[in-house]
Amino acid sequence: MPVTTDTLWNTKRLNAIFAITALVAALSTAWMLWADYDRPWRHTQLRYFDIMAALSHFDFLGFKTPESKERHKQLQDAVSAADADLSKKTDEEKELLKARNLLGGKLAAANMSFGDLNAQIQVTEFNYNEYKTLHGAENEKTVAARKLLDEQRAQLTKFRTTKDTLEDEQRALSRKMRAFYAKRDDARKNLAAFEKGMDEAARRDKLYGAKGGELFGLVPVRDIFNAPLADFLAPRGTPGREEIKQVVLPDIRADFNFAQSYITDRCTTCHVGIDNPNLTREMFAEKLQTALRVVNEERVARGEKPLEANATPAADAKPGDAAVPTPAFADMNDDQKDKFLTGLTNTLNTYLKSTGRAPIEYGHPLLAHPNLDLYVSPDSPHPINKMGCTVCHEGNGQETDFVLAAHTPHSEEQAHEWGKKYYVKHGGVPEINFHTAQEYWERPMLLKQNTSASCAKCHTQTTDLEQREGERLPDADAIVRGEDLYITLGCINCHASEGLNDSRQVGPDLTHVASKLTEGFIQKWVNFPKDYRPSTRMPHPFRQENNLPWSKSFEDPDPILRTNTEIEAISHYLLTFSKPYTPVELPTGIQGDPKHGEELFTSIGCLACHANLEAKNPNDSAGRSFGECWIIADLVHDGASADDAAKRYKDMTHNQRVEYAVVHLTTERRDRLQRVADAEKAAAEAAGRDPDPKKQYVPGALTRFAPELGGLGTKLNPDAGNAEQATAARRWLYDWLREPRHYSSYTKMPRMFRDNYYWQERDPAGKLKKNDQDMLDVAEYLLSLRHDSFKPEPFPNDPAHEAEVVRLVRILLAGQNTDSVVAAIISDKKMDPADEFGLLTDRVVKTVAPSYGTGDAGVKAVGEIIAKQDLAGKQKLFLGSKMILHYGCYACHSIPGFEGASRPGTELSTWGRKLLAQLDFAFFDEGFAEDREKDKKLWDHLYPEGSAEFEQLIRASGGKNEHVDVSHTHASFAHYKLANPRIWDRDKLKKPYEKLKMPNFFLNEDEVHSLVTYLLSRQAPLVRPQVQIAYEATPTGKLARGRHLVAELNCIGCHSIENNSANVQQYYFKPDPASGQILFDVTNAPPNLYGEGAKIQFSWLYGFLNNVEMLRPWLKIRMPSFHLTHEQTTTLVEYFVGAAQSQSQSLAERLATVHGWESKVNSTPTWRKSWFVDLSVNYVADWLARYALRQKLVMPFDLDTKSASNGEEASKAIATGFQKVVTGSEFLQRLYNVEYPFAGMPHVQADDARYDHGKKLLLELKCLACHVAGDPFAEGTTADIKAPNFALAHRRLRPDWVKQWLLNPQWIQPGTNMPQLFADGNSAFKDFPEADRDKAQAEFGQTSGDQIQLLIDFLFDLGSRNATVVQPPAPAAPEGAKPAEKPRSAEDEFEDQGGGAKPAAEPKDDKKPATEGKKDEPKSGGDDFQP
Amino acid sequence: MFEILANSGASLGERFRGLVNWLCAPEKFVSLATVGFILALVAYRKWTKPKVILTVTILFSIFYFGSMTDHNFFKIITKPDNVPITMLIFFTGFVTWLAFRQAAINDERTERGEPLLEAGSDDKVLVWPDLVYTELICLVLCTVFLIVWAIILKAPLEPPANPSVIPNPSKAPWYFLGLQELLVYFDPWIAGVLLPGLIIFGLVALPFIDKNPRGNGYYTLKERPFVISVYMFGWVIMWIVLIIVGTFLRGPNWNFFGPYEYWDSHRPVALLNINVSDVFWIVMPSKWNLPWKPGLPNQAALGGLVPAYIIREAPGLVLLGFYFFVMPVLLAKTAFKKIFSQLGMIRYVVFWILMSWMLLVPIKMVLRWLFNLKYFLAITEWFFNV
Repeated sequence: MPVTTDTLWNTKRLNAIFAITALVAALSTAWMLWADYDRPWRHTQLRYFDIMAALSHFDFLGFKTPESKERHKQLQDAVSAADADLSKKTDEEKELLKARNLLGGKLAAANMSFGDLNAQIQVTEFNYNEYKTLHGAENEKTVAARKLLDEQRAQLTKFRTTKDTLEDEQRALSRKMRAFYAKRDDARKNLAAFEKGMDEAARRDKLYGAKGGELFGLVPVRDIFNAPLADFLAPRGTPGREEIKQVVLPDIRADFNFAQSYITDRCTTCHVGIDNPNLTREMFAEKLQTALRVVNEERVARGEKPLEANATPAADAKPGDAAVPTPAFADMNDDQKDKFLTGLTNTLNTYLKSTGRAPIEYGHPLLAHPNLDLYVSPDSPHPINKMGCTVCHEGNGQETDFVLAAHTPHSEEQAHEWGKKYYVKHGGVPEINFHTAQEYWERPMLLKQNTSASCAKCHTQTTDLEQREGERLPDADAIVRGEDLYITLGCINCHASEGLNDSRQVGPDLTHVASKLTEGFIQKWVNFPKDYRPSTRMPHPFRQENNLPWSKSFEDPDPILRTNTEIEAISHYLLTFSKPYTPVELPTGIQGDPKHGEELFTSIGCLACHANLEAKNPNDSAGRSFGECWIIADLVHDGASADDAAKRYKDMTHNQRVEYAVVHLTTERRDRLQRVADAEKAAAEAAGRDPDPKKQYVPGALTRFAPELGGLGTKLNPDAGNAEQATAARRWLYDWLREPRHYSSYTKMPRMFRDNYYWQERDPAGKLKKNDQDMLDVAEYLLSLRHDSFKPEPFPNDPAHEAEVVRLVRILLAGQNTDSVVAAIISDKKMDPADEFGLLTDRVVKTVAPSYGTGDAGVKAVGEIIAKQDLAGKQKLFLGSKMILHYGCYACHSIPGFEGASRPGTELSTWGRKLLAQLDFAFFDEGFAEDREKDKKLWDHLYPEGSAEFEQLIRASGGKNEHVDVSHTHASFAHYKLANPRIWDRDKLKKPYEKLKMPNFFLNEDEVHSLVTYLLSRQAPLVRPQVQIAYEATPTGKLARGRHLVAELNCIGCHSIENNSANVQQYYFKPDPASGQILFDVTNAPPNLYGEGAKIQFSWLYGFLNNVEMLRPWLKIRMPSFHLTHEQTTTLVEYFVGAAQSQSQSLAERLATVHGWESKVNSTPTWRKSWFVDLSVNYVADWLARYALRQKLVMPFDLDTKSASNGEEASKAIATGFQKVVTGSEFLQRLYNVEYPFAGMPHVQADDARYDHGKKLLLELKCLACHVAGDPFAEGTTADIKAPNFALAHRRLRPDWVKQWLLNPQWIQPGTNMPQLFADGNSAFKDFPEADRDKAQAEFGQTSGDQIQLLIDFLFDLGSRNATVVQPPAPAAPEGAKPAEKPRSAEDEFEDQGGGAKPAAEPKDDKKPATEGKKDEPKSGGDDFQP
Repeated sequence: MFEILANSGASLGERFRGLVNWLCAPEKFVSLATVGFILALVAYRKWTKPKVILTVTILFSIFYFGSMTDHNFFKIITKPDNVPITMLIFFTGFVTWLAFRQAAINDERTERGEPLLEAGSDDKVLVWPDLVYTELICLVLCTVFLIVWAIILKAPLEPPANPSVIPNPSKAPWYFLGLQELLVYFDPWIAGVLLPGLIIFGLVALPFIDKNPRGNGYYTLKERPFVISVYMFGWVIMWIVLIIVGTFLRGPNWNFFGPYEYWDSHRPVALLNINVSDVFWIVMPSKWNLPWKPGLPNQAALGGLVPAYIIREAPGLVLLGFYFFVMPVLLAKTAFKKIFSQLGMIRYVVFWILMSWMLLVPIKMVLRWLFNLKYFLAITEWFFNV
C-alpha cells in the first residue's frame, strides 16, 4: 500500500496558526516579564531618585552663587595672604628649616649610634649568659664579657641622653614650626574642605545627572541598569538603582504558630527616605527655599525674571525671602506644610524642567520619619537596622504592595481614596481590598493613635515611658495612660491582665454601707450615678442602650421594670448584709464651723484629690467659687464675652457645671496648655517680647482622683430636716476624717488630721481639742454642701416589682432546673422538713455565710439575718446576690458574700492576639453594610439618633454622639466597645441575662484611644529578651514601680517628683506685686521632691510616711499620714534613689561626651571649636541646655543667640551660659550619684569643743534668723520661722547632701530662700572687711570646706544632744556680716519672687524625744482608734 | 416559598434573591439537579438543538453573571480559588451538550436508516504533522493560558498557617470539594478511603464489567441508556454538582448558605442528628406506641455471646444487610434480570458493589437533609459507622 502523503490538516494553515500562537506566547511572556517588573514600588523609588537628583543639583548650584564664589575666593585669598605673609619672613623660615635639617641630621646620627650599640649589647648579653652557663661565673671569658657589657651599658645611657635631648629639641622646633605655618595650614585646610564639598556636590550632581547620569554622553545610565532583566548590571546599593530594600531583624520575631523566626521588613523599599534627615518637612522646606534663592539669584544675574512660589498657604510665609524656614512654617499644621511644599516644589519644577531634569514630587511615602531623634536613625534608641518598622507599626513587612502590606485607612473616606489609588484591579475588580487584607492579615498596621501599643513589647512595664531623662515622651502617652486607666478605672478588677496582679479594688468598701447611706440614695445612685455626681468614675450598668425601653422585646418585655427591680434587689442585699459599724463618738462641747471648715478644705490639701467646684476660691479677689472662676475663664477663652460667660455660668445647674468641667477642665488639657504657656513664655523671654496672652491661658483642672464633693450633704443626710440623720452623718464623717481605715479596710484616703500638726500649742490637750475642732469644721462644711434637686428616694412600693422579682428569679433558675424545682425554690420550700433552711434561703446563706464567720458561726449569723425577711424579701436577696454577681459589682467594691469570687470579666492578657473571627461585630459586620444603609438613624452613630431616650447617654458622653465607622480590626472593635459597651447588642433579640453587661464608663475620646492602645498591647511580645528593657539591672525598674505607687497614692497630686505637674499646684499662684504677673507661689506650695533620694536618710522615711511630723510650720497644706506597708515604703525609697541615680547617670553620659570632645580638641578654643556648636555633639548640647533651663541652672537669655548676627557672635554670646550649664550639671551629677542601700551613714559624734565651735559659727552666720534649732518655744527663737528645724537634720538628711546644699542651694532647689553662704565655693567671710575676715577665718577655718564641715558637725550633733540654740540678742552686729542680705546672683533674682524655702533641717514636736524613726511607731497620741 | 415571594416589604430583587436562596437549600438544590438531569436524559433531542441550548446558555449567563451585582455572590466567584469553578460550569456544560448533541443526531440518523456521523472517517492520521504539530500548538496555547492566568489571578493572601486555628470555612482544593462534601455524611474511612478507592476501582473495572461493544467510536444514547445514565449520574450529580455545592453553598462552619447570603460565621444552625438505632429504639416506640419500651438496649444477650451493641444496631444491620445482600438478589430476579443474565454471577456482584455504594451516597444525603439521619449503623465501640 502506498504511503499516503495526504495530511489531515492543511500544513500551511498549521504553520500560520503556529506562527500566531508562537507570537501570542512571546507576547504573553513579555507581559509576564513586564508584570513582574512594573511594581508600584519602582515608581516610588523613581520619585525618590528624582528628589535626590534635584537636591544634589541644588547643592551644586549653591556652590555657584556669587556668595559662594566670594567665599571660595576669600578662602583662596586667605591662603595666598598667608603665603605672602610667610614670604615676608623668609629669613626666619630659612633659619627654622636650617635648624630642622641640622637637628634632623644630629638625631639621625644619634639614633644610629644608639641602635648600633643596642644591637651589640644583645650579642654581649647573650655571650655573657652563655659563658656563665658553660664556663662558670669566674671564668675569664665570662668576666671579660661582663666587663664589656657594663661598659656598653654605660655608653648606651649616654647615647640615650643625647638622643632624648635631641628629640625634645625637635619637638620644640616642630611646635615652633607649626605655629609658624599655622595660619597657612588653617587656610589651606579650610580651602580644601570647601573645595571638597564643591567637588562632592559636582560629583553627585553628575552622578544623578539631568537624566540619571549618562554613559558616554549618550544613554542615561540609570535607565540602563534599571531596565527589565538588567538588574545584574549594577551592584546592590548603587545610587539610583531600583531595588527591594530590606532589613533583617534577628531580634524581632515573627510568629508562624509552629515556630518563631526573624522578621524581614521591606517597608524601606517605598519609604526609601525614611532615615534621610533632608526629607523631614522642615529640612526639605529649608532646602527648597535655599534652592529657590540660589536659582533666582542665578536668573537675576542672567537678567531673567525670578521665579515666584505659586502657592503659599499662610499669608506671612513667603518662600524665597529667607534662607531658613520662616517661623510661620513651624507653626503650620501638616496639611498647610504639605500645601506650602507643593507650591514650592511646583515653582522649582518649572526650573528643573527647563534644564531637562525630572520634576520632583514630594509626598507621603517619601517623608522622613517625623521623629528621627527617637526612631529609625542609627544613633537613636530605636535604630531601624535593629528594630525595623513592623515591630512598632505592625502590618506585613515582607510585602511591597501597598494594600498587601496591610496599611490601615483611618476612615471610610481614606479607605475609598486609597482604594482608588492603590488597588490592583483587573477588569475593574480589585485583586484584594483593605477589608480582605484586614481579615487575612491578623495584625494590620496600627493607626497613629494606637502605635504606642507596640512600646509594651520591649518596655513591658510601660511606666518607664512616662518620662525619659526628665522629658515627656508624647509618643508613648497613649500606652502609659492606657495602662494607668486600666488600673484606675478598675478594668483590672474585672478583666485580669498579666503583669498587673496586685491591684486594689477601685470602688468604696460596702461592707458597712448601711451605716453610711440610705436605701434611696443607693437605688438612685446605682440607677444612674451621673445623676448625682456627673464627675464620677463609677461605670453605668443601667439605663443603657440594651436595657432602655427602646430595646424591649418579647424576651425582655419591660426593661425598665426589670432593671428597677434588679436595682432594688441589689440595694436590698447590700443593706441587709451590711455589717454593723460604730463610728467614734462626737467630741462633746464643741460645734463645727462650716466657714472655717471651708477654709481648711481649700488650704490643707484636700483639693489635691477631691474637687469641689462650689468651694470658695481663696485666691479670687471677688470671692467667687472655683467653678465660677474656672468655667467663666474657660468660656471667655473660648471667645465668649465676660458678661455672656457669667450669664451662661449662672444659667447652668450644678450638674451642668460639673459636666462642663468634666469635659473641658481636664488635667490633661491643663497639662497640655501649661506646656504651651511655658513654651510661649520661654520663647517670648528669649525674643524679648511679651508672651501672647492667648497662649498663656491655663485652665483649672477638675481632678477626678477622688470624688468631687459638691452635694455630699445630700448624700449622707438626704432628709434635710432629719436631726437624727444629720447627727449620724456628722458622726460618720467625723470618724472618717479621723481615721478612714476605720470604716473602709482598703481606702487610699490618708489621715489629714494629726495632732502633731499643732506643735506650736504647748498644751497636748489643747492640740487634741484643736484637731477635733478642725475635723468637725470640715465635716460641718461638707455636710452643708447640698444640692437637693437630686432626690435620693427609693422606688415606690410597686406590686409589679414583686411579680418581676419572681419572674427574674425564675429566668435565672430555669436553665438548670425543672419547673417544679424552680417553683420549690421560689417558694423557699424545705426539701426535707428536717432541713434548717428552705431552698432559697439555703442558697443565699451559702453565698454569704463565709463572710460572717467560719463554719456554723457564719451560717448561724446569716440565718438570723435572713430569718427577719419575709418570702418576698428572701426572693429579693437571692435576686440581689445574683445581680451583684451578674453585673460584677463585687469586683470593684468589697461586698459581704463575695470575698473570694473570681473576676467577672474575660482575661485580656492576650487580647491583642485574639482571633478577629472571635470578635463579634454583630450587625456592624461588613456583611450587613447594605442593611445598615437602610436605617442611618439606627446605625450611623454611637447611640441611635432621633430618640429622647438616648439624650441622657449622649449627655453623659460629653454631649457628642460619635459617628460610627466600624472597620474589621481589633482597634475598631475595642474602640466602639469602650465608647458604648452595649453597641454590639443593637437590634439583637436577646434574653435579659444574655445581653451584654459591661457597664458604660462614658470615656472621652482620649481615654478610649488610650485604653484601646493598652488592649492592643496585650499580646506575646515577639521580641528577643535582649532588646527588652532590663528593669531589674538598672534604676529603670525602681522608677517604674515607684511611678506606679506615687500615682496610686497621688503623691504626685501635691509633689513634683520627676517633672510631673502636680494637681494641687494650680491653687498656688499669686500675683507678683512687683511685675503684676501671676507667678507660682513657691513658698506656700508643697515642696517638690527633685533629687529627694540624694537628700534624705532612708530610714527616716519609714517612720515619716505613716505618721507624719511637722517639717515646715509656715505651710498651710499638710502632708497626710498614709497606711503604707513596709514594701510600699521600700518601693518609694528605691524610687527616690532611682530617680536621683538615673538623673546622675544621664548627666554623666552627656558630660562624658563633652569632656571627651574637649580632650580631643585641646588647641585654642576658637568659636568653631566650641563643643556646643559642633554638630556631632549638638544633641548633647541641646539636651544639657534643656536640662539646665529646667533646673534653672541658667536662664533663657544665657543661651539666647537671637541678638547675634553670625555664628561667631552667637557662639561667644552663649559661651558663658554653656560654661554654667556644664558646671551646674557636674554639680548635680555628683550630688545625685547616691549609693543605695548604704548611703547616708549617720554622722560621727562631735566632742563638746567642736560642738561649741560650730554653734559659734552658726550664730555668726545668722542661720537662726529663719531656722529653729531645737525647742521652737525657747526664749529668743525667731518669730518668723521660714525654714525647718535643725534638730531633725541628724536623722533626716544625708551629710553629703547638706554639704552640697550649703555650697549652692539655688542649683538644688531653684527659688529657695536659702542664701548662698559660700558663693562660688569661697569662704563665707570673703566679703567681710579684711580684718574681720582674717579674724573669722582664723577662727572657723580658711576654706569653705573647713567651715562647712564645722557647721555639719554641729548640726548633726544638735539633734542627738536634744539641745536648743537661740540667737543671742545682737548688740550691734557688723553691718556687712549679714549673709542673708548678701547681694544675690542673677539666677536668684529671676526666679525667687515669693521667696521659697527649702529645709536644711526642720522643727519638730517640742516634747518628742529625738529618736531614730522606727517604722510605724506612733510618735504621739491619736492612733487609739486604729481599727 | 410563597412566603418569600409574597414578602410585601421586599423589592423585586430581594424577592428573587430570596427565592434563589430558598431553592439552593441542599435538598432542593440536589433534587432539582437530579430532576434536571433526568429531564436532560429523557428530552435530550429537544434541548440539544442549537437554538434551545443557546437560549438556555444566554439565560444562564445572564443569571450567573447578573448575580455578580450581589455583593456576597460576587465575593464568592471573584475569589481566585473559585475562578476555575466558573470555567468548570461552562466547560462541563459544553462537553455534555456536545456529546448529547452528537448522540441525538446519531440516534435520529439510525432511526432514519442513515449512516452515523462518524461513519466513513479514516481513523488513521500521520504523526507529523497531524499529531505532533497540533500537539505542539496546543501546548503553546496552554502555556499562554497558564501565563495569563498567573498574571491576572495572583495567589491570594493568606495569614501564616496556624495548626491550632483552621480557616473558616476551610475548604479543600476545588476539585476535591465533592469528596469533602461526603465527609459530612460519612465517617472518614468511608468518605476518604473507601469511596475514592471504589471510584478508581470502578473506573478500572468498567471495561471488564461492560463488554457491550455498542457505542464504541460513535455517540449514542438510545443504544446505551442505562450505562450512560448511571455514569453521568455519578459524574455530573455526584461529582460536579457537589463541587458546585461546596463552592457556592458551603460557608463558615461548613454550614449551608444561599448564594446571595452573607457568610456570617456567628449564624447558628440546628444540627441534631440521630442514628437508625435511635429511631428504632426511642422515636418509634414513643411516637407510635409500639410494643417495646423506649430506650437503647444495653444488655448483652445469649450469655454475652451477642454484645449489646449488636442488639442495639440490629435495625441498621438489617437495613444494610437487606440493601447490600438481599436487594441484589431481588433485583437480579426482577428489574436486573437481563443484566444479571448478561453479566454472570461474578461480574454482577462487582457491579452491585460499585452500584450500591454509589447509590448509598445520595440516599444518605437525602436522609440526612430530611430526617437528620446520622448513621445507619453506629458501632462507635469499633469506630465502625456507616
